[in-house]
Amino acid sequence: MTRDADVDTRSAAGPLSPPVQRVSKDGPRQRFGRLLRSAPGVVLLVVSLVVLIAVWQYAQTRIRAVPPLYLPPPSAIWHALLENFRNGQFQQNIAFSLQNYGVGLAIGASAGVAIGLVTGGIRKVNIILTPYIWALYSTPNIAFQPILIVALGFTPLPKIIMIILGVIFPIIVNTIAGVEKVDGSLLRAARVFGANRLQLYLKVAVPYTVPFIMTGLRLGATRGLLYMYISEIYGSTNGLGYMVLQATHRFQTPTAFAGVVLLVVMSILIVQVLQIVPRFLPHTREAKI
Amino acid sequence: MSDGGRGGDILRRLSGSRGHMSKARVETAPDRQGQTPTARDGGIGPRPREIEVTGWKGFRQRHWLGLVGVLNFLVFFVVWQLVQTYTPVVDTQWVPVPTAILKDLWENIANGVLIEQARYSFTNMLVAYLLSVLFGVPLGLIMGVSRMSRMLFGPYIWALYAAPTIAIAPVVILIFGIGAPATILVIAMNAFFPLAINTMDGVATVEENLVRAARVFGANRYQVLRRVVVPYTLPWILTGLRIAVTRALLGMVFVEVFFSPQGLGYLIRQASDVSDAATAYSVILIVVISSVLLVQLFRYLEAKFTPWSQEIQI
Repeated sequence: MTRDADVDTRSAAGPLSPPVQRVSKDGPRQRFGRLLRSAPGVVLLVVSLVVLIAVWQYAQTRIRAVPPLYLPPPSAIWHALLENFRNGQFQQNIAFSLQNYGVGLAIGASAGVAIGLVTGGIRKVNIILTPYIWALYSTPNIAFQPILIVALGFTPLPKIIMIILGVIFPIIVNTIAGVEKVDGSLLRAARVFGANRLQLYLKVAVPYTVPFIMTGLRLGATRGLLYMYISEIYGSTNGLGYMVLQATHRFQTPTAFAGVVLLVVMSILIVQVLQIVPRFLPHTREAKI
Repeated sequence: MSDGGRGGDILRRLSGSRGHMSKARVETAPDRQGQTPTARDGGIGPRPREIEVTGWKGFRQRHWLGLVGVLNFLVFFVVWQLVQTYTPVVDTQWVPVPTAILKDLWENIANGVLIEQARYSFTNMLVAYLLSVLFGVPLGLIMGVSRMSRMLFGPYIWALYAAPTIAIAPVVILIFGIGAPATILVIAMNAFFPLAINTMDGVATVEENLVRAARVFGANRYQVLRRVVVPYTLPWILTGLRIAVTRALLGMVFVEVFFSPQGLGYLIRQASDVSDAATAYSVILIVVISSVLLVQLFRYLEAKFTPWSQEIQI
C-alpha cells in the first residue's frame, strides 16, 4: 500500500530472474520522493526542523502573519533563551525544578516498584489495591493540587507529592503487568530445582519483571516531568512553570516560549537517557508490549 | 505445593488453577464426567453442560470479584471515617471524614451547582474530543498510508506527542483569553496527538499480503483503505481513543483548576482557597468517578469491538 512501486517490481521478479532495471522516466517529484526515502531519519528530522524554523522566522518577521506578541519568531525565542541564561534566571529556576523532580522521581520510582512487586506477587493484595490504583491512575491528579497547596503551603513538599503522584502509577501498573506475565514454565523449573518461595520471587519473578519496570519508568519519568511543570504553575514562587507563567503575565512571550522549549528538551533528554542507558546494562531492555 | 500456596499468585499458578478469579465456577454435569474429552479440556466433543448454581452460593460465585470490590471500598471508607473521627492522622481540616464529604456532595448536587459546572466541563471536553477525533484519526490514516506525508509531518507529530503539550497552555490562555475556546483548544491539543500517532502506528502494522490480496481482487486505493486498512487499524484507533480521553481529562482539569472561572476544576480551586476541604474532596470524588467511568467505557469498547487484539493493552 505504502510502497506500490516496490511491490510491483518485486512480485514480477522470480528468484532466478535478473534484477529488474528500473526504467527512469520519473519526473522531479519522483526523484524528490526517492531522495526522501533514501535519507536516514535524523537527516530528515534536521532538514524538516530547519525548514520549519526558517518558514516560521520569515512569516513572523516579514509578513507578521500572527501578532509577534502571541507567536514570537524563533530568533526572539533564542535571544530570550540566551538572555535568561546570562542573567542566571534559567539556572536558578531549573535547579529548583530539577531538585524537586529528582526527589519525586526517586521516591516515586522506588515506591512504585516495591508496590508493584508486592501487588503483582500476592493475589490478595492485588485484589484489594487494584481498584484504588486504577482509580488514581485514570484520574488527572492535578485535581489534588489546590488542596495540597492550601494544606502544605508554598513549600517544595506539595510539588514533590505531585511529582510522586505523576511518577508512581505507570510504574506500579507496568510492574504488576510484568509480575503477572512471568512465564509459568520458568516458575515450575525453578520449583523443580528446589527454589523456595522467596527465591522463586527474587530469582525468577523480579528479573523477569525488569523490562516492564523500565517501560513504566520511562512513562513515569515523562509524566513526572509534566507534573513538575504543572505543580509550579500555581502556588509556587520558583521553578520552570512559575517562570513561564510569570513571563506570560508580563507579556514576555519569547521568554515563555523559551521555557517551554527547555521543558521539551528536558523531556526528550530524559526519554533518551532512559532508552540508551539500559542498553549498556544487562537484562534491562524494555519490554515490547 | 507444601504450604498450599498461601497468598502468592505466582505460587498459586504452580498448582495450575486460577482459583476463584474466574467469573463463576462452573460445575460439570455428572453425566458428562469421565466420558469423551470435551471442548473445555482441549479435546473435541460436546461442550460440557453447565449447571446453574442457585441461591446465595451461586450469587457469591458469580459476583465474587464485585462483592470483594464493594466490601473493599466499604472497609476503606469505614476505616477512614473511624480513624479521622477518633484519632485523626491528618488534621480533619485537610482530610475530612467521608460523611462530611458525602453531605457536601449531596448539598452541591441538590442546589444544582455541581450539575451546572459539570455540564460546562464536560461540554468543553466533548467538543474538544470530537474535534481531535475528527482531525486526528484521518491525519493518522493519511500519514500511515502515504509515506511522503509521514516523512513531512511525522517528526512534528511525534515531537508534539512526546512533548508535554500542556506546557504551552499559559501561552494559549494569553492569546485566547480565559474562557471556553481556550479550554477547548488546550484539551484538543492534548487529545489530538495520541490519536494521530496510534492510528499511524496501526496502519504501519497492516499486513502487506492482505493489501496485495485486495489489490489482486481489483480493489482500488479507496477500497483498500476502507476494507483492509481501517478494520486492521481499529484496535490501535481504539487504544488511541482511550489514551486521548485520559489526556483530555488531564487538560480539562488543568485548565479549569488554574485558568478558569467555571467548571469542576474551578470548584476544587475555589473550595481549596477558602479551606473548604469537604467541598474540594466532593468535587474530586466526582472527577475520579467520571474519569474511571470514561476510561472503563473505552476499555469496554476495546474489548467489545476488537476482541481479537487484547494484546495492546497499555
